[in-house]
Amino acid sequence: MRPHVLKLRARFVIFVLAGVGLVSLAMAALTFFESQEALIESRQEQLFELAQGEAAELGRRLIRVSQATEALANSLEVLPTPTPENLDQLIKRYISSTRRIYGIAVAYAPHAYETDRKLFSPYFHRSPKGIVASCVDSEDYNYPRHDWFLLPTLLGKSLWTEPYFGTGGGIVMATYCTPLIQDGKIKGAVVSDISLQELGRDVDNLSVGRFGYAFLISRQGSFLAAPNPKLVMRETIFSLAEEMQRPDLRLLGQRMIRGGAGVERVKDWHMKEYVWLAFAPVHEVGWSLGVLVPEREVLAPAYALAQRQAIAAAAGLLGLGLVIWLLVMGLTRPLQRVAGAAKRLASGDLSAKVEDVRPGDEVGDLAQSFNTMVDDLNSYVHELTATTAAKERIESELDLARQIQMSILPRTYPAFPEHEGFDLFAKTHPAREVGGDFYDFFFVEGDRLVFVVGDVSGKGVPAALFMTVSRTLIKNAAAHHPDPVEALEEVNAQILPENEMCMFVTVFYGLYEPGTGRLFYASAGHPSPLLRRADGQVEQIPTTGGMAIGVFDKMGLTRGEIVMQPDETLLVFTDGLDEAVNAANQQYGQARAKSWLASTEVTDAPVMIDRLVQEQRAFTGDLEQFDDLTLLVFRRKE
Amino acid sequence: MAAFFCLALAMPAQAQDKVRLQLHWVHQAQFAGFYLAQDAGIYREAGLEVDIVPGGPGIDSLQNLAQGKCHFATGWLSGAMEYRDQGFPLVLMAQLIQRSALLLITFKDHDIDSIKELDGQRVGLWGGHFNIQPRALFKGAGIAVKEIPQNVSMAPLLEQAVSAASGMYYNEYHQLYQAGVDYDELRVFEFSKLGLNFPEDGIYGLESLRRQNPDLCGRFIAASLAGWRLTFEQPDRALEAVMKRVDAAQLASNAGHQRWMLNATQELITHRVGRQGLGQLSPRDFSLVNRVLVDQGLLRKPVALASFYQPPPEKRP
Repeated sequence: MRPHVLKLRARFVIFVLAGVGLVSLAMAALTFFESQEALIESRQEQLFELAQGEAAELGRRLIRVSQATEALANSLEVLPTPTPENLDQLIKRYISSTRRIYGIAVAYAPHAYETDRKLFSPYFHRSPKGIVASCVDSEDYNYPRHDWFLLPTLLGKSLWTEPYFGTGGGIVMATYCTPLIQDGKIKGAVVSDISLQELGRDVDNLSVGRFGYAFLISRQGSFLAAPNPKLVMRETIFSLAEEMQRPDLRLLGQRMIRGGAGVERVKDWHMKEYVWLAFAPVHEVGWSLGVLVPEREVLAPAYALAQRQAIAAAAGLLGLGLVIWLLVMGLTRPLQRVAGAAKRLASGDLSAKVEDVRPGDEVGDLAQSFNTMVDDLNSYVHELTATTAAKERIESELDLARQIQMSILPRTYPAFPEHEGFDLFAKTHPAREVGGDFYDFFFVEGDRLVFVVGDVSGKGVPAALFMTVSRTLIKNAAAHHPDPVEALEEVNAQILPENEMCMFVTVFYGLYEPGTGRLFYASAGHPSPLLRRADGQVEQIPTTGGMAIGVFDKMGLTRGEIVMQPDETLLVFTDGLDEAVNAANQQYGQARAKSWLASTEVTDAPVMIDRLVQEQRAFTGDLEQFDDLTLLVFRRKE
Repeated sequence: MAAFFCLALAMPAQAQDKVRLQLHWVHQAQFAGFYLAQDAGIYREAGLEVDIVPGGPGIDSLQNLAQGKCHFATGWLSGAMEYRDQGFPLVLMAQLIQRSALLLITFKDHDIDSIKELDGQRVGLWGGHFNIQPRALFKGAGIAVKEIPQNVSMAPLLEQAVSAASGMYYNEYHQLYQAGVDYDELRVFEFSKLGLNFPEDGIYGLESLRRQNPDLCGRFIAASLAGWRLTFEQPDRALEAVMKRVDAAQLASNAGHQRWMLNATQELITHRVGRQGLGQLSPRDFSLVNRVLVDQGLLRKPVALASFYQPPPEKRP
């Protein structure tokens, strides 16, 4: 499996922070857009109110001018042919009465004042030197063709002119002109000028936020006041739209000069950014006042809020990260301790224990379980050590016992060097350390040879002890009763009463007379030995009846007798020979033993035993055998 | 241009002749060719040091010429012919504007679909030579209008104090657009299409100068026309020359308007004659003006073309 790149701790922090970060980002975005909308909405209203309020205020100032002009015209209507001096005084009084009025002219239509005087138009205006007269009734200037005279007299109504450079007043001005009516006829016009520069200052002084500003356009879209003086009186909102190819701006301008009011989001004149533009008409003159604020300024609080939120969120995430870090540290540190302890344990340190882990939670449980496991492991290992020691002791004792057991069996070869008439050797292979098989051979009554092979039921130490007892008893019994049947019955009679363990032993008992070659034998439940004739034929010697020793008091033994010819060999064996099995669970069987015995060419007893054991081991393989194996070979030499 | 360099090479040692050109209106793109001839050094190459004097309300350029206040003047053909008839010794040396730019402008919603419907209505007319064509038109249509003296302002039309007003195609027509009036709100009567195509701007000089110093006249006219050709080739450069003067004179105009005027002027000057035929007077147009002026009683007798139109020998290699 692919290993994790990051530790648990980092993974926790990253995942939780990412999740929380995403959520706060979404929240911030929501807040931002909502606050943006709210800001725009409120700013729109505010801008619109500002535009309307200022437009109305401008209108009020201009109304004072128009009212004063109308009043003068009215007074002239009822004043029949004032003298030039009267006119001058009247004009001066009206100028000084209204602060916003820059100059006033009373312009008579050609020949209307005096028949022989074509042009007559006294004009006074403000100047640093006070109110001074200025000539506008020269032939050159020819006032009757100027808007301020032409329009009121043609239309018979009052109106404001477009701004223009007033030659007489020497400034850029707009003029309120009203027809002068006498006797129901239009005799001329009474006109008042206002200074556009002064008006522009009012507009410029309007505070519209930090980057915002106000501007004023005339009925024809001319800029009357704008922060950029290059626009004033030169450009119209439509000339800008034309130069920048901005149909939207042209439409906006048309809405403005047609008396519209509203709030729009537009690109500014320089096409640099979006602005919010509110506009409202100055009703008195038909001009339009616009106030605009860059969108970035409108949205600045939203951005500031977003910034604050970002900082707060960052701080929060940092704090959260710290908390998670500590939390996960609290989780992983005990885990690391457990892991460390496990590693130490794995490397063989049985004292490895998890220290400093507070119980109560899952990791605590884990640590506790680990510690318990280590304790268990320790006690198990102690037990195991003790057991092993005990076993080792027992094994060494058993080994000793085996040596003792072996040492009580005759192992010398030749067993009786002084007797050359026979060859005798026996060997036992216990399945365990000590075995229940035994053999023995000794002389009784001087020259008769007894040889015994026994097989105690069961195995191991009990069998070995029983075998020791049996062997000793047989040897004792044989000393008194050499006859095979008597000897074995004597042994049975001695063993049976004390045999609480219900153990028994099968015994082949042979009594050989060296001189005659006669062999008397009895078998207490023991398999009959094999006899190899001098010609190589092998047969089992005749079976005699009888039970094993230690079972019943009546054994039913019978005595067998054969005569062994020179060069005949007798093989006495225990069931460890024929009942041994191989991996395929086949018994070695007497048939294989017989045919081996028939075909073997060795004659020496020890060699024969070794070969037979080899032959049998070759058959069984490495399979562990559960029966002791004892072989005794007896050959008559002469 | 090539003509110029050759011209300059032909008389490299000549001292600079000081001449004064009187324009018949304030600085604007209508005169761009003269400005560029000056700014691009064309006049200087021609051995001329030209003082360009702007006109304006109350300035009669041809009168100034007749009074010897300048060497050359621009002016309208009709006016020049009147002065000629009155005995002013001026001659036409180059006819620039071939097509009349004069218009009568009204709003479509005034419901004036034909000239006849102006009968009895107030019509804004400029003074002087500017009212010859309208009056001829009204006379021809058999109507009488209330003539209202018109100034530079289009406010009377916008305020509906008049039913129609005079306007120049290259000036007022576009000024209305820059005042927020869409072109399709307007109805325009073009004199050039109403059988009254009076050639307008031309370059005039005194007959005496023409006779005594044909070389100077030739150089001035050739350089001026070269200035115009360069203007048509490099309109942005010409516009720069225009705006330089407009700004210096603190005129209430803007670059957008001057660009429009420059395009319109090119259209009018190259009308029919193309860039190569710059400065020619069409005898047919001339006889039309003659006929109308006589008809209007503005001329005692028709002006003779040969004595009036005397283009100086051009110094072409």
